Amino acid sequence: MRPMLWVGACALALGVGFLLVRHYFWSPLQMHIESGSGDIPSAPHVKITVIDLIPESMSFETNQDSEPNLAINPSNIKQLAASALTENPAGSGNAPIFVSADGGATWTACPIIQSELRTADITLRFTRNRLYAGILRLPDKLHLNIQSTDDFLDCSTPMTIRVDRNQVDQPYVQATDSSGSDRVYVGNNDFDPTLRGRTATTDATLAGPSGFSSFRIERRATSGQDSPPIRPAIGPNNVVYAAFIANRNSGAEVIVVRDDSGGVGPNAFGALKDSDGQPGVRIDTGLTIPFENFPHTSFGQERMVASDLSITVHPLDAARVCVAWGDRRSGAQLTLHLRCSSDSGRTWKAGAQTASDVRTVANARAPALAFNSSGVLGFLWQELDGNGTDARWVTHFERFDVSYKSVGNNVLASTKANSPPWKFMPYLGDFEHVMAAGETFFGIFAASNVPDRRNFPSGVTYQRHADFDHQLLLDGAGNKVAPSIDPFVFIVAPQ
Amino acid sequence: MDIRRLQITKATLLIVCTMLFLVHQSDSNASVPPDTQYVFVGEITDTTPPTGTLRPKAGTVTVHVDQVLHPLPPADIANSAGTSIAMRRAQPDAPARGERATFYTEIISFGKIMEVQEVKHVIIPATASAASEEDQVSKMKKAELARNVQEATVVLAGKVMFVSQPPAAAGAEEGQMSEHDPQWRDAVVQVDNVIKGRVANKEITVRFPASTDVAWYKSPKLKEGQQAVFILGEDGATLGHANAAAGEAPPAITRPNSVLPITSLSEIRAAKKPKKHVASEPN
Repeated sequence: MRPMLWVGACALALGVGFLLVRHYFWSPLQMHIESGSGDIPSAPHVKITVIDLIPESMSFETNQDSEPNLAINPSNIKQLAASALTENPAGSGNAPIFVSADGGATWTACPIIQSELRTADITLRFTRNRLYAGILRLPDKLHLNIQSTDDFLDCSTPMTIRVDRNQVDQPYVQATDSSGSDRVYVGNNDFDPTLRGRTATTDATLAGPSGFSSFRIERRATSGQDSPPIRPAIGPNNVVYAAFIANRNSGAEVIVVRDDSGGVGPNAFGALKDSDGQPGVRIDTGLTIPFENFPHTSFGQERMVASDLSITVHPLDAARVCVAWGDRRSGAQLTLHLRCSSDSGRTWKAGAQTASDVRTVANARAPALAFNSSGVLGFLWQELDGNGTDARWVTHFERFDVSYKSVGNNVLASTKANSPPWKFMPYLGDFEHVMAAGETFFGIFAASNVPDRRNFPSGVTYQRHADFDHQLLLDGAGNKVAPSIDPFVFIVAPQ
Repeated sequence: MDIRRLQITKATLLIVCTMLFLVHQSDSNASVPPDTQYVFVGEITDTTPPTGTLRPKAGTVTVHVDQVLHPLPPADIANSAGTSIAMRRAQPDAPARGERATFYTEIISFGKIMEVQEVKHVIIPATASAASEEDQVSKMKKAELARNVQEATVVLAGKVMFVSQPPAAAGAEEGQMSEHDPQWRDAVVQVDNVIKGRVANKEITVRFPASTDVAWYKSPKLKEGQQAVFILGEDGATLGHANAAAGEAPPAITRPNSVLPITSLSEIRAAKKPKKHVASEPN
């Protein structure tokens, strides 16, 4: 072969190879900086946007807007909805959510959730143009509501109540309309005494917004009840997973259940059996998962209520599923474990990893996971760095390639952990959220809103009035406003 | 009856009716209509909505907020004076651009600008002083307190003698592991004064959530030795039964305005309007 042909063939092969690697690994050139953990500078091949979503006209607010959640309209990814434990600024009326029609650049608070002033829990999810909210409604105790609206930008019309019952904790909604009708799953901890302690439950429908029924996903005996978080994850081809934390006399267990036909019916979530023949694979057992429902000065004013749990499934390959949870071991207050399965949840050692954990993070909390369309795994968490008055909550977003090798670990925020002082629990939230639309990750976390650019190494935009030169928040008339906890939306997009 | 006496009687009746009407008007202006969230003194500065209004509707105008009358601090929105907002008018024409008024509104949204729906307005004469607006704030505060007291079943002043965990049988939910557990506590209160309603015993028990969870953190947290005024809702009626402590759950105090400082006692007494159906007073 003549030399010119060799050169051409090599160039072609290199080009194709580069495209393949880019497709499967997304950001191959970042891999060399990923071996360590901690504060790695922003990777060069992603664009990171961080936005404090408190609207400009709420510049006066000092609420503790913790435990944020986020939803993206699959029909129009410029349309987003977000929530937090935000009080109606008027001091009366319905609870607000935040809506955006411009891809998250600007936000409006709409008081459309039927709950007095605020909610005790809230998560949001879209199907095609329809927004669902799973909430604990106030002023009652453990009052589950599933609400929906077909026009989430109409701030004058409250959402419609679809499910309304009592003695239920921590609703967590997931939804899709990939099969042409709304499939909605709301994980919850149901204290119905007839369940005899098998409290892990999903309320689900394949014909949303109506037709919800409750399905029990705990089949084994508990030491009294399951822990609060029950997290569904919707995969392709009618596959649905759920993760929960079971309490046994021998300690806590992290359980994953699966259903291959939509997750409804008398044997819902019974497809994945463990060695005892019971549905639900026990990823780890004999765990100590603290339930300490008070602010910890040694844990950045936050409580620990066994709610650190997240699960995600690959949008195109239902066999690939990852789970992250927090437990107590090795002297740390809370240690996060990220573990993945490539065989539909049967085994939990992933890729080339020799250890069971893809990632272990000590003194950290609130894990949140999502796969993007290329199979890149996004992992959001908050880590306590330092002690005493120097302690900081550091919010990380790390990405892993298809082999679960880290390909980018960005610090989104690093803010004082002991200031501002807590007003209620949770301080930052018992959980936070990340999801993906195509290759772009969208997520949300809570942090101190002191306007200091050093606190946001990946950059930040405020809508509320802020003087970054003097680290001051201001109201509409230019008066100083005390710092508080705000929800921050972040977008990590490939470049 | 001669014509002169009839005319005097008619005139007297007219004066009395007019006075009653004015008093009623004054009261209704001072109080906040039940569905009204945001009351402010402001001026319409533009007959079109400000830029940034989400889905602007016809009849939306720009109003400059001069002073917030309701809600009052500690509500953050009390600090929203000095800004321009969008207001959907209840009536198309009045007040005109440049006129000042007290606007009674409901909140629609908070975006780049705040948007409200006008419920009603009261024009402020050009001669009105700032002092009269301050007076309006004071009247509203009193009216709110009066409504709180009027809606209560029992209002009493007392001292918290001790606080304890309720008996195990207080509720099946007590054993639940939920982050929203109210962590109920029982407070024994020595009754010093009954301002409204019936209380059968000199000591009563009230239940309150000690939890700092988001669902309960605003509820009053009682402490031993605390003197306060207790404003109890429907379940306060149980205190009128001599056997309440033995057989019925104590009234639960969950609303932030259920417990007020003892220093507000005279204001509360004044806020209580005499009613014929009010039950007998203290023992």
